Amino acid sequence: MVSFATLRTVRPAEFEEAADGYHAVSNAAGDAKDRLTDEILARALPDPGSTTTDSEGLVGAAAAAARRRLERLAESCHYTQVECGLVRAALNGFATDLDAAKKKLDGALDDARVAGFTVESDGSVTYPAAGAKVDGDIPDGGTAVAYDDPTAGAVADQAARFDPNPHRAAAQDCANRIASAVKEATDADSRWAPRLKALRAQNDLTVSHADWADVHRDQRAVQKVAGEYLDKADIPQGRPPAEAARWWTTLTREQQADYATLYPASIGALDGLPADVRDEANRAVLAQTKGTYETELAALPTRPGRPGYNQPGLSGVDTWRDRQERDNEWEEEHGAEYERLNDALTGIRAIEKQLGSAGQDGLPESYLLGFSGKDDGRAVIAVGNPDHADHTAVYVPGTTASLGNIEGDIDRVNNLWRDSAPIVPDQQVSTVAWLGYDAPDSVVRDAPFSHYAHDGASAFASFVDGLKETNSADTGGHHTAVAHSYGTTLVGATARQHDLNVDDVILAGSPGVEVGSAGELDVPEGHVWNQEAEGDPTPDVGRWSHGGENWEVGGGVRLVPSDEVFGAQQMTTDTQGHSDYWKEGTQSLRNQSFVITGNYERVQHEAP
Amino acid sequence: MRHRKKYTLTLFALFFVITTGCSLETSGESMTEQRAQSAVNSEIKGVSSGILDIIAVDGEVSEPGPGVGRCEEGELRTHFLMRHTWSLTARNSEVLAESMERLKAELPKQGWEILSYGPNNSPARTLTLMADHPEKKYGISIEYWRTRASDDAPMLLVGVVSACYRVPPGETVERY
Repeated sequence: MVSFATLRTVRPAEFEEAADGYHAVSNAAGDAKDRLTDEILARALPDPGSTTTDSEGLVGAAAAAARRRLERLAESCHYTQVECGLVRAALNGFATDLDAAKKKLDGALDDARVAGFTVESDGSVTYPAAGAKVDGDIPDGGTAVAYDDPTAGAVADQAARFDPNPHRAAAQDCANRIASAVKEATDADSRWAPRLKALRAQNDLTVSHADWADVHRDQRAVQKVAGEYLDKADIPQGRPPAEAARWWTTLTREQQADYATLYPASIGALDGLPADVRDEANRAVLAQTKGTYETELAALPTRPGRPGYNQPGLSGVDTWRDRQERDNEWEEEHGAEYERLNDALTGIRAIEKQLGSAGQDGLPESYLLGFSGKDDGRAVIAVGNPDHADHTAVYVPGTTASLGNIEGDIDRVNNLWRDSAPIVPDQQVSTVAWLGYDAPDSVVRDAPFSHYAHDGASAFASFVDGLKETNSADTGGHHTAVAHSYGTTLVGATARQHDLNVDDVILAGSPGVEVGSAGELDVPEGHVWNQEAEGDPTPDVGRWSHGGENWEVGGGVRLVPSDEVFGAQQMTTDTQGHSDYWKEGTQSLRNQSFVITGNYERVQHEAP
Repeated sequence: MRHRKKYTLTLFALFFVITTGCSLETSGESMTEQRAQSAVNSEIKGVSSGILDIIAVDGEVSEPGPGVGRCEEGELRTHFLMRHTWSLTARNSEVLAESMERLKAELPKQGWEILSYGPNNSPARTLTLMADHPEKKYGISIEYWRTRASDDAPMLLVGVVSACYRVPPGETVERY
């Protein structure tokens, strides 16, 4: 309960100053976390299980123990960063609400003073005698009181209007406004105080998955009351990236920090925002999702276990069939949930490993530009900062791509980066794995249907536009889409339905791109590159669902990029000299890296 | 007595050799050798530095080290190969052109089989040397670029790739 006296003397700025304090702690914790993972852990204390380095860094039992302690410290720092961020946001939110109430109060007090009224200690307003004489006397002064009860308040208002003393109505109005301001402050207090109280850490030294799940709940709780301070509806979701970029620059630093803390999923997914902002936001979502899923997994009842040999003497009571039946029941009730959680956690761990690999062996930092655990999951990971990259490649995977399988896609972009970066040592390269759409689950059943590509097309167009928007390379930024099997159909759908805003398109193992010629893929002539993936039957099987039309001379319906008349540059996967080791996979990577870095003259072509 | 002991010993020795002598496994048509990833990582770095020694040109060598790649056959979790792509940027192109000739001459002396040396089928007809090392089991491709697109500097682009290997039993491939 906030009293009139309290509201009169309170300084909302005090809460903002406290918020600044938490902001400083949050930043310091974030810096410490970064320093620990990127510098100390990556450089000096390599993972004992890792095989990347054998001579650099400290090894041995003591080093392994030190590494474990420092990993825990990094985890604590991350937790501190996020929770302090929530406290900061809550304090700022409360300060804003309180400020609004205080302004109302100050306005009413000013008016009372100007009119010559006295405001009593309980907020009632005393007015002097005044007005035209009634029965020979000047009408008396009095004290106007505001009522909680609406009926009583209405009666008081009525009486004030009919009083011959003109001050009474004005005084009543002041009293009402004072009471309203106090009520607003009280409401803000009762909204925010419980949230702030809940932002308390457990008093042990480990940050467990339950702690992270708790952060997630804290955040939702703070979000619910933050509507007045920072409205989620103000985030320009689904708007063109240029608009989102502009909106971001209109915010103060504090507002930016609080938006990212309160709504990390929305901010992390917002095309047009800088890569490092999205990365921080998505890392918080990653940690919270992991904590929530681990908690849910731990809550599932354990699997009864595969029926095996029975204990001697129990065969009469608990048969093999009984145990099989219990196992089947578990499978029916929990099987799908267990698989979903396990798959998601597998993907999450692969992403964590990649994010922690910066600095090792010349690898750059990785940026998490998108993450969601819902449905089959979404993940967008960049190797190297795309905002600073002279050359950026976006890799679009094909069928069966999912969060559970993300390790394979991360693998691919790591390989692409390692092959591309040495070609342009004077420039920066970024390779991005984009699982931003719901890929078909089954090669046989789902892939022939086009709706997967169409639904993902607008997401892809927006993502690419976002990359172009935030890119600040002096060279102007060169962007290549690298698509594999069904991913190529999505790229084609994007060009057909929206604008594919890249400079080069590489298609590998394409079953068809929905358009009949390279010219319809939104890039200048000569910038569509095709290769058949090793041992891949999809081009011929897929053309009947995804091939395009082309009525040029020699053309017809159901054309795929491997067809000569399609007009793409055909890159070879054959090697010269028939090496036992330099195989198709290596040759195709090499050709792709040449396109990605703009060295078109070096690409080896299929013999005609 | 003496004869029987000798006979048993010989049988036992034969049995021992048959069951423990091989660390190869059949996977489809090919035999995949078992090796630790760290060993291949060290070895491929050695191959790269050996090539750099023959080139013997002062210049800037790119930083990133070898990475893990996928085999054409074999399970993803247990089979791997290593790849190392690096470049040497020099100040003038003549020394690099000379080093290509030197490589062609010296690599065979170190056990390399030159598979091809000449322009490849790119529009630029890039001078490319491809070689295999049958004993160490590596393949290399060395391209000579008189000028590259980004800054017109001359460079050699070297790619080294290992054979496919299987991690020791119980382990899974660490991909980086």
